[in-house]
Amino acid sequence: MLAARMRPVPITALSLCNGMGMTTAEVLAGLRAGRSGLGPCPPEIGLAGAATVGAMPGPLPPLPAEFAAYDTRQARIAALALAELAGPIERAKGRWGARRIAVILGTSTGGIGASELAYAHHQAHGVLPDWYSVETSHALDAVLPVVCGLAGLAGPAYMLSTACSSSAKVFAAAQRLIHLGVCDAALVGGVDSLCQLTLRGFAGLEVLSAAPCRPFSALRAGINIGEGAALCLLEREGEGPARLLAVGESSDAFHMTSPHPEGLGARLAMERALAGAGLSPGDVDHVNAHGTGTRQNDSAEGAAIAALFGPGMRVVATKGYTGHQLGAAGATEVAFTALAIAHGFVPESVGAAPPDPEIAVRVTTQFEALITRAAISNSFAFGGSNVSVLVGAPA
Amino acid sequence: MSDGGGISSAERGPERGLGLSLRGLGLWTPGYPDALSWSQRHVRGDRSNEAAPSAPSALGADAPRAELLPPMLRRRTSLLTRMAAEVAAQAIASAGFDRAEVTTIYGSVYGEIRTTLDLLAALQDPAAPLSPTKFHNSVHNTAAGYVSIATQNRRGNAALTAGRSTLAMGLIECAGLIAAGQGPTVLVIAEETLPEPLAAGRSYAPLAAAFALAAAGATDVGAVPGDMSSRTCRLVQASRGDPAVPRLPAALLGNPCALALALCELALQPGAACLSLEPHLPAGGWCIELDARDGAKGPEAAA
Repeated sequence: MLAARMRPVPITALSLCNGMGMTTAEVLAGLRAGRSGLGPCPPEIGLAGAATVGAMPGPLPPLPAEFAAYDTRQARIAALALAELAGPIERAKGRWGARRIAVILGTSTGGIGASELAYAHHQAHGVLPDWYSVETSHALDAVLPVVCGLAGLAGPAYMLSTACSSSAKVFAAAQRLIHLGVCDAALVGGVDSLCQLTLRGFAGLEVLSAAPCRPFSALRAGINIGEGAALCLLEREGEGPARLLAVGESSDAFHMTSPHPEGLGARLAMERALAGAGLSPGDVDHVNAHGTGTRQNDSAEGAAIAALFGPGMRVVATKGYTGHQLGAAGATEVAFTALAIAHGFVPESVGAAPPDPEIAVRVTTQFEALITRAAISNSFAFGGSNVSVLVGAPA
Repeated sequence: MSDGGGISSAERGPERGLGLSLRGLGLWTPGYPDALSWSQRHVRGDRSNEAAPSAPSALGADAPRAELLPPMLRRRTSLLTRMAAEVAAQAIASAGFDRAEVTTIYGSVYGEIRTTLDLLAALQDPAAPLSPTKFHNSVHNTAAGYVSIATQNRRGNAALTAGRSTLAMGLIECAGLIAAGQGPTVLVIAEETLPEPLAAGRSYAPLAAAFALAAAGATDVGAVPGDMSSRTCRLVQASRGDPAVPRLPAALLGNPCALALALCELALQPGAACLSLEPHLPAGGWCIELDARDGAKGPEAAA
């Protein structure tokens, strides 16, 4: 079956907050300077001293009183990223109408951090805390009423949750809904918050590094977990830093947590993204790798990139800046790719030097000025879920 | 294989609704192992008010067969994953789709909530390691992963939630996939019971339903099965008629995905019908209109 060729969709505005900074400007400055946002685990997460994480670097403002029932760390991070986009969203509402703007967000944690506190409270007191409800505190979709309510958006709204590819998938869904004609614009992105469950879960899988992670480096020792949010405004027409060209999705159909050793599913996703945009491998100037920092993941992805693009392809891994933001990683790295295109650079893969000689791609170990025509951002997940988002320069 | 090149377009817009062809169904809820048994419950008497255990082991012979999954795996997965695999297989078979080439979308509000609760309990001991298996089985796309492996399906898939709008948004996601030429698709809706203490008194039976969908008017997506001929349907934002009020058993009413069974019920009846997919919204939200069964005068309808 031939997939339909869909029109590119301009990314007209974007917003980021994560371990590197509370604002897009701070995050961009860190990316240009090769400044990592990783550090010790904050005491409230409960693993202080035991892990390096990408934690939000400042206090998170509480939600307005009308959203008090939804006021979790997760919702606060989403609201922080949303606040920066107030102007562009108002403009888009004026152009398209609030009912014609979809909201599609990705997350893996939802409000699980709130449930950890509530469960412990129940153990101690025999009742859940007053502030907790599974519907408004825990549920993956609990952030939707907050984002839609604060932004005044009324189009189709849903959460995609496919573990670490969640907020890359949202770009595919939005492009399809705009093509379908059910909306003219979409606010897409992802949000995840630090919690014990993910930190101790990855510790149980024995892939957590106590030191800052070093994706694609010969000295790598595993992953760090991060938190944050990234939002992109996609519009049927408009001007912006970059364009969403196409998205390729695939399943490994191999294993729940291990990638296919030759990166078969990863290659399939990248090939489908290129086919969706009508581009060939030579049209792509760099790849923002999933690059988590485990030997298994780095080696499968490196093999897939080298097989498709050749060993000279420039590859950047950015989890040394943010840690692995899980459900927020996909949108964060699409936003990084859009910023790299808009500002004419490829960031240093912080921590990657010295690169692993067994991985046959050109990992960027220092800041490079580069005009990028098109770049791919990869996100891979539990369940063998692979997503490659192809981002291009403005038309 | 072509599915007709999409169901709508940006130029036409969705004013006349998003057209889809419903090709097959899957259903499981305690006491009703498939859509046929569910459709006969008004005749044979309602069994769903009987106590509905939530663990597959407690269900015994009533547990979802989930024959799609390898036996070793079937015993280790949650009721949610087993229900999802069971109804996906039913819908794929009844539509005649190729299980390795279908795109599957999974909708659930609380997902693998019972596995998540096990992990929350384990976290109370700061020294206890978390089970890696439980950890990766707690993600929202657990069933998606296992089913893709079991069927060697390398297409993309997704797991989504939109609270009480999960069925509506799942159908819209499928309409988008079909318009993009990535159909045929199966939408699986599955919801387990909420465990205490998180449930805080909420109680309802588990359920799962699946809808095999293709482009409206497509003819070559698979054989039309004997138990349900295809139905043309449309997702619309304002219905022309009065949406049906489904008669659901009390034990299922609190389930946030109960509307999926109401849609199954309407699809199993031959006449035209309309169902509000977002009755919780003040403005009414999305509805689905079903045309009378395409083969209503044919032999399938008489069977």
